[in-house]
Amino acid sequence: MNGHNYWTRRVSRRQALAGAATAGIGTAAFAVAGCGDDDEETPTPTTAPTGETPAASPTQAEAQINKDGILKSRQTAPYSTINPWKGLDSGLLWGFTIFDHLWATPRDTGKPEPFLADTIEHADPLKIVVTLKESYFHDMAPINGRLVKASDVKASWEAAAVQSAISASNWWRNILEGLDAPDDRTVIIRMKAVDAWTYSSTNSASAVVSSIVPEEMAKNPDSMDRELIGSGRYQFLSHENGTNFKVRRHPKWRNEGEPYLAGIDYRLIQEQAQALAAFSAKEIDSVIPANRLEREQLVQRHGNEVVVDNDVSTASWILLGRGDGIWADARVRQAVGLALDRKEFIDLMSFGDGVPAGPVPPPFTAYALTEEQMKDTFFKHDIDQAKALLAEAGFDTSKEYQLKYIVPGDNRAQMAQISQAQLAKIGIKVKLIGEDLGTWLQQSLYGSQYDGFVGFQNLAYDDPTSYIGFYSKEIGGRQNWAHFFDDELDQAIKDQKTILDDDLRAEAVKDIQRKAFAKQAPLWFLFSPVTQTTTWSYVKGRITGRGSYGLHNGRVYIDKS
Amino acid sequence: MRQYALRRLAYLPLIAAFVAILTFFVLRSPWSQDPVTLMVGMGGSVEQEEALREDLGLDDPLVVQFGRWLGDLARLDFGETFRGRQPVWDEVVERMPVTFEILFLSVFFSATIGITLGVITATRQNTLLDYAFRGLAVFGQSIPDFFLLVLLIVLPSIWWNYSPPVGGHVSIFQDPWENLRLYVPPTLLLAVGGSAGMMRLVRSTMLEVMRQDYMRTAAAKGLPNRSVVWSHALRNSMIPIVTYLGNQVTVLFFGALILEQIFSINGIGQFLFISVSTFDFPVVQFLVLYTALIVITINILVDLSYAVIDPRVRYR
Repeated sequence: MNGHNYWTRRVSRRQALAGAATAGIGTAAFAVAGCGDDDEETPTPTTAPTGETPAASPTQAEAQINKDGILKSRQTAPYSTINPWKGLDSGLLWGFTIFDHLWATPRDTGKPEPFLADTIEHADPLKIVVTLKESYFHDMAPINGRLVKASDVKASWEAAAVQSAISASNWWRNILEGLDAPDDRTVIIRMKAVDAWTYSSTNSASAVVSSIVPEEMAKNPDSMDRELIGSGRYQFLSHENGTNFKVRRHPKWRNEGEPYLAGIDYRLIQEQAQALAAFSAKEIDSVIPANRLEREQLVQRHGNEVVVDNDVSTASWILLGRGDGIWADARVRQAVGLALDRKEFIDLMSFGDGVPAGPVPPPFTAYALTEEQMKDTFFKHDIDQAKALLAEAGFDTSKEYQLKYIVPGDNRAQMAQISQAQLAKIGIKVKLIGEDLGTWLQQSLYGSQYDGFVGFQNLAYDDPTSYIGFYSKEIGGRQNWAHFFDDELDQAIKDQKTILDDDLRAEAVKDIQRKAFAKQAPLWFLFSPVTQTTTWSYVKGRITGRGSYGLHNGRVYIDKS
Repeated sequence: MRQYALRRLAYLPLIAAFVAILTFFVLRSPWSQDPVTLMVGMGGSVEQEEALREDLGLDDPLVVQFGRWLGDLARLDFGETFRGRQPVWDEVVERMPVTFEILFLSVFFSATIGITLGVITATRQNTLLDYAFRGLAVFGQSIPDFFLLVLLIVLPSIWWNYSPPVGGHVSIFQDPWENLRLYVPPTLLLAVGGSAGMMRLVRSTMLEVMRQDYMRTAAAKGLPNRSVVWSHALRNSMIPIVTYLGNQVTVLFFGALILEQIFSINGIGQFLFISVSTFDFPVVQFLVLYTALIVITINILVDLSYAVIDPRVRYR
């Protein structure tokens, strides 16, 4: 898979099956949190094992164990609709369970893995030819378990791309030209321009937009308000006004014997105290403690009966400055960077459970700079040097500058207060202003209505380009939020999209980050918290390390024997 | 009384119109938030926001939006939710049984416990029992409902690894035991504050009534004590009690909102809470109007009940 031969080789059935064998507990937790709320922790694994998809490590008597059971998961908020094209939360949850996809791209390897696709040819950069495996829709009226056809993929993608209520990325709106279905087994995807991130999980591997629904439903999307029919591992059973979903094993799932689980039951549990109580009572099978204290209490109470997974989140904490006015002088911006002590942020905000983050968060191992590579640049902390730089630049320390953050949210306020204290050490006075999400987003961030800083935790994107995009001159049709306009960086960000070789592109992404530091871009990534998903040990077959696509797993089962 | 009732009912549309207009314009005022920005979230493009705004009809001038809404309202069409694009009325109706059961049980517990203990303390004034229940009442009124509800979740978990059933609604007709297991403990706790207030009110009102001459007469003519207390004393204390109960329904309606949140029960309160935080205009407009109408209706019923309780009350 390199250069123009990207995906040209035929992917064997064996590899495809292995590709599908990924795991993850806490489907609901992720899907509910998904990209919706930056306070929610997501199971975001950190390690990149190999290019090969890892499979659950078998236990000694695994062959004899009856692999079955109902997984009980937490749903953190009611859904306004079950229709995946009308709600991001629904789209994510069903994307990982009910619906099928041509392929998926786990964040640890960054390499796409076929799912419904049997063979993929991408010789022409503007055309992908895909053949489909034999797969069947769930046996529910009016689809009645028929074969998944190329026309279903075509109808699904073309309809999803134009839905206004879901966040289809630029790829869906401006790169994808259309699809053809010359026969039942072949799909041809046509693109208007070369985009090396075509297979990323915000583009053609999007859990939401790339979901394959029956053609009949794609043509009448409102039908999904009431009924969900896909060809994924699980079929929809029931819900109660957007809560307490139940899904059950798809009896005709293409991998014989899978999924092991008979089903997944989601239970609405909004309050953290309630979730911890429900976990202890085994009403749910996993929980994400809010902090180290909660985790330690659970371990103390339940000992070896629970397993804790430490995953570095991709939801980094960010301090965004400005690139104009008094901040136009690169020395001033460098001084701000030097004033920030990431260790203190991690200790105070996450009880030490976090890792310093550069522009691309650590879980994206292929694209992120290592801590070692950043220790003398992004992560350098030197108060004296910062003061000297401010003095040299003639920075006005008599004035007070704003730091706007979102309220409510203890973590957000804490992040703002720590930033204020650290900046005060070099003489920059900061006034904290808490704003509701709408005002903060629309006016302060998008409208750049702040004279100093904005602080936030970004969404847990599954795609590294979402992070370097902050340096573009234009973000989502708006000018750079920080008013930092750099032609060289902007061009580099555009150029990397055209590099089809994986390794060269990864290097280009790293180079953009180095350039951003050299230019003292006013965007300071602080740290990524470590989440500790705690699971009862009777939940077997879990695999971590795959990002959200680790949830495409058919080998989890419950073993209470 | 019929005239009085009709006169009171005639005010209903006026009040409803006032509430509706106020809600509509406050939600769209310059200091309010843009639901489209919240829906699209960080990372959304201008193009996407514009498409969604057009879809929701929010790109039209305010007057056009208002006219459209009034027209729909006149046809009893309450619009569609912004997020799920489902008919607001259907969404509310589906959640009604949940909220009404919480409301019914908490009002029932509040009234039953409050009146019973009020009568007991009034008839046993200055005894140990009286002091004990009065002490409990002060405690009950002092402690916030949400704190008690959180304790109901936390303590059984710590002590017995037990979690009360949360997050679901099981119809009482489908599984009465599971339904009561879900709703009785939290509604009992929700009723603590109300029953404490009710107990104190019943006690003081009863004590006042029991000092009246007609009470002495009732006792002197040889009526059994139970009849004196329940038929005469309590009956004559009912007007302030019913007034208090009317207020309690409103208070407990909002208490139900907290209960639904803490116990993750997907009722009307939860629906309102989420809709307010996401600025789902059609839902907020409808639920504010709906709540206003319920509160007014309860007040009218309370007023009318005075005549039933006390035949001397006449409405003109």
